[in-house]
Amino acid sequence: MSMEEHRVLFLVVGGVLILLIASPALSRFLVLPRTEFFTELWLLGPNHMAEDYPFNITSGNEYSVFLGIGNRLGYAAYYKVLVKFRSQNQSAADSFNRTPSSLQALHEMRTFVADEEVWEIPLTFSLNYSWAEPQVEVYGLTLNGVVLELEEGLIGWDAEHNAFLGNLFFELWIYSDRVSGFEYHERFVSLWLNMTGS
Amino acid sequence: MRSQLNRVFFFAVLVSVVVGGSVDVALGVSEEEASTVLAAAESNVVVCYSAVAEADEVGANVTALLTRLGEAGEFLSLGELAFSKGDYDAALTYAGQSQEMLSGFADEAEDLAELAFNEHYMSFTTTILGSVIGVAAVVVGGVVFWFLLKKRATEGAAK
Repeated sequence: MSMEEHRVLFLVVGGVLILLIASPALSRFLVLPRTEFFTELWLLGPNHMAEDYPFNITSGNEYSVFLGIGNRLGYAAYYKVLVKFRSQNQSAADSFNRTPSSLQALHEMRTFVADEEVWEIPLTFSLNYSWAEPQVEVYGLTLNGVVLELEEGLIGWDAEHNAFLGNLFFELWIYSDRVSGFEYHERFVSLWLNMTGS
Repeated sequence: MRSQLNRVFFFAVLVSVVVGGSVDVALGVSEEEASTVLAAAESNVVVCYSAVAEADEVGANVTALLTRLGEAGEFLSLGELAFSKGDYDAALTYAGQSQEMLSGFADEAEDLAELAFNEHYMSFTTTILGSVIGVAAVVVGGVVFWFLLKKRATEGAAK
């Protein structure tokens, strides 16, 4: 083998060795930048799956779901989940206009989630209502043992769906340094509930 | 500076809770009092959140602090709920519990941030320095080895 052939082999082996030795330092600089920053918000059924959500409910009976938040914002975030309940003709959160419901929150849950971390809690709820044909009057929601009173809880008959439909929903708000307060984070999850008599 | 302010702030809130608590036995808590203490508790949560966010930014493991902050937040939410129901005594109690949970929190977050920064700095310096020394050793060793090889080849050819 000539010196010239040796030189090529030498350069290749040297180059590979240099790359190997420099790789810990290179890994500090050659990191692909994150391009998407967002928050996930989810509601899962009682079996921790996206199925078997409570729908036909009876007054006073307990139902459970899981509520979760995944933080992909690149920083530790301070969230507030507002719990609201409405009938079909009351103000709803709007996915297209990205606006929250104008209804007063029944309760709020605060949580702090580190970047790339998730927060999830089991929610057990029951609705207390009475039938007053042709409508249902919902007067209370119990959420994880906390009793919440509803001021305007009249649910009318929905002829299209043959049901008395109420909507329990959770709006996500986030603390913003810019406004030194909470802003609607343009996300909500909801459950439609048919208030049955028995 | 901030930790001093935080101590003064916490002390002021503590005094107001204790004084408020003893007065409350005789007079009950007014809406205004409850509202003030809740607002103070809310501000304290925000201050602590800012401290923990800074610690998180420099790579500190803030999971335990966030859990504690979350618990303080829960008390605050219960306080807000009690306030909205007109139960100002309970609102004051919950606000006090929230404050108590965050006693010394900002200082801990600052310490954690400092520790994480130093660790990060040390690890970064060690990595860069190690790589630079390693690469330099390979280059110098390679050049020396190459010249030795070349020298031997030239001497072999001459013989």
